[in-house]
Amino acid sequence: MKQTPELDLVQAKMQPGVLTLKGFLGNDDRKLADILAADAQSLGNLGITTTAIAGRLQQLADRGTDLMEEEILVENRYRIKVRDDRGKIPSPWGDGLFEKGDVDLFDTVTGHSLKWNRLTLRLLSAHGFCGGLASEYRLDPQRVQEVLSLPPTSDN
Amino acid sequence: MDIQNIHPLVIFFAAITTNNILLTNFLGMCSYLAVSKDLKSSLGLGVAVIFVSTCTAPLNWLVYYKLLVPFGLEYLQYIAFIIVIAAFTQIIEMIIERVSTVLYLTLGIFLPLITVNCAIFGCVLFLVIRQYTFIQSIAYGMGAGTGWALAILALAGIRTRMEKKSKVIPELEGPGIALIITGVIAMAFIGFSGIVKIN
Amino acid sequence: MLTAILVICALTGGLTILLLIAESVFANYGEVNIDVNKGEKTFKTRGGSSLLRTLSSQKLFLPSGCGGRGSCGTCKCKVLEGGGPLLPTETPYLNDEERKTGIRLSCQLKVKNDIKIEVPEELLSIKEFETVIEKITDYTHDIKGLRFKLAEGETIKFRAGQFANLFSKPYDDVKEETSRAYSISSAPSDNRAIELVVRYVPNGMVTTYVFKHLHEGDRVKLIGPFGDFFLRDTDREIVCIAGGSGLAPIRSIILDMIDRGITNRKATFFFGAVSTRDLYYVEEFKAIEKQHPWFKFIPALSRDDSGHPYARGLITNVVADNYNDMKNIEAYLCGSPGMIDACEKMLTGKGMPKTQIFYDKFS
Repeated sequence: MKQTPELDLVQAKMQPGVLTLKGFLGNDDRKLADILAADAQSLGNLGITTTAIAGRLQQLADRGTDLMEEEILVENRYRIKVRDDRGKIPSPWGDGLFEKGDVDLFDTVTGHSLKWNRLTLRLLSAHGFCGGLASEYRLDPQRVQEVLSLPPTSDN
Repeated sequence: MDIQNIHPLVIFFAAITTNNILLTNFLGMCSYLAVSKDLKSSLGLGVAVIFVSTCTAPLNWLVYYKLLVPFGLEYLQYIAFIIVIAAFTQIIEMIIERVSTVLYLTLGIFLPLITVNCAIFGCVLFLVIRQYTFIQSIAYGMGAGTGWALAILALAGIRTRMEKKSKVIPELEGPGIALIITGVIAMAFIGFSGIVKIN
Repeated sequence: MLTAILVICALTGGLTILLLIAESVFANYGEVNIDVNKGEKTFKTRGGSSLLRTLSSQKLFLPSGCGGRGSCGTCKCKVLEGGGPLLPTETPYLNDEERKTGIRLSCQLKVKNDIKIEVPEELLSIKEFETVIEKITDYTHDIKGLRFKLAEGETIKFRAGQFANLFSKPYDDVKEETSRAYSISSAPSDNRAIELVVRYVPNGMVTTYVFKHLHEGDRVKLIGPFGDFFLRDTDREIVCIAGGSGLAPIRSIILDMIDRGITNRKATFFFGAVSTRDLYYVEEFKAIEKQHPWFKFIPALSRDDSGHPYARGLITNVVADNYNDMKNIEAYLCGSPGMIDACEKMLTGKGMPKTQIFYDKFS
């Protein structure tokens, strides 16, 4: 995939201090197009879609919402804590404002942690963006699949 | 025939018909296409173009022959002409807005559009290239403006009628059909050739 | 070469002078009087520029999406007198109803003479404030209270429950001024200062600035007030539910009720938190409770098994346990979207009409 001027603009907004304090890319210095392509590749290899991941994560998040930030054990496996934050944050693709409120998930089986919010789920499902390497909010396809064990989809 | 001896009236009519700045040189197309949707706005813009080209032609003639030529600075003509046109339309807009609200509403709001109209600029360049005299340049400016106004009025008339009466395939709606119509009008104007001729 | 420069300079210079003369002669409309909302604000200014710009030079900001190019149609405003005829550049954005009532597009309308206009009441009080931080208080491990002193002679007019935007200055990676909305926690009568409650958001651009970089005595820019979250004028009993920094507007509303001498409405404030370390302002509310029989304060802790004297459990359950039928009660909610959703569900389940539930969407 080629880095388009549009992606340049999006990538500029993903830098630390533009939309969020630490940005969306972690220490990843690849071009956004390459990040997207690499993750699309690994998702394809795993046979899972970003929509399936986002749907499942949102479902888990909903279980932990409205609990005054109390941690909850879901499905006897995931420890989930949802932060109550007010306010909204814009998407670097410029396609909307999304409610804050990070979700922290700890998988007691694999020992992995995942972190996301409504914006990062949107970036995943609508734009196939999993987060830069070593970004706190990275939803690495391999790791996500280890945690969620989603059934492979047959449509591709 | 020496160009200086052509009667200004001949130049005036030639600029409207055989040498129509829009239909033979295709200058001033952007505002022509944009505003021709509506007959009333076309009339306003047309009158504004007539007025501005009539005034800027002799003004720029003076700038060229009395300022640039004596100093041997003909190569600065483009900058000089554009500045003069821009300043002129600005001042006229201010005056019109102050003097008459009605006139401002019908004419004044088009003046900023004209500042960047290539027909006005083209007209000035032609009068320099063709080495018109001062009087001739007034006639030419007026003629070029009138010709442009005539063309946009014709197109606006046809477009408003077509909107009611006929159906255009969706791919050609808007600018597409407007350009085709313009081509047809331009061909019709070829019929004038032989009546008067300049250049 | 020199002559070229001289000639071009002479030409442009001459034309500039001509333009300036024309402007001072023709575009000079002298001093004009602007009257906003029938005398509520009046000022003298030089005519000649658009109404939108004239107003913004007086720090009265009409909403504008396109910045005055006449392409969005949001800067509408009612002109009572002195607007002149409707311009062709305005008509596409106005419907018949608006044309009849004198609504105009303020970015197109040029101010040439005295003019009388009407704008929504809230816009008049929205101002930019250059403030100095008077006091920073640590309320809990992640909540701070900030008190901003307004400039000498300046006051703020707001309705209890509204919020203001706080601007951070560039720091570290943040290269630009950034703003976030925070509810005002002080009473409207305390109009020489603004108090905000800020809860630390991990990676939050403005909260990080507030927590790591702001000190007492620093200068801070605030714009406000905004929002339609405020006490409605009815006789109904009130229930307020808040969590975390959501306490702020509720505190302002209660203090305002005391100031205005509203004693005929019973008010109960439920404040939800996880444990005792998340509670703040408890003494103040307990004191109010003691002094004003119409007010009751009920903090609820969802996960604290120590011997505390407060209610136990999730805030929604605690509220539900306190009421039977809530048909004639009004609710004021402030907290995260999740909390508001849960409360709304619980309240409507208890018979409260949706029209009696108010919360701040912070949009």
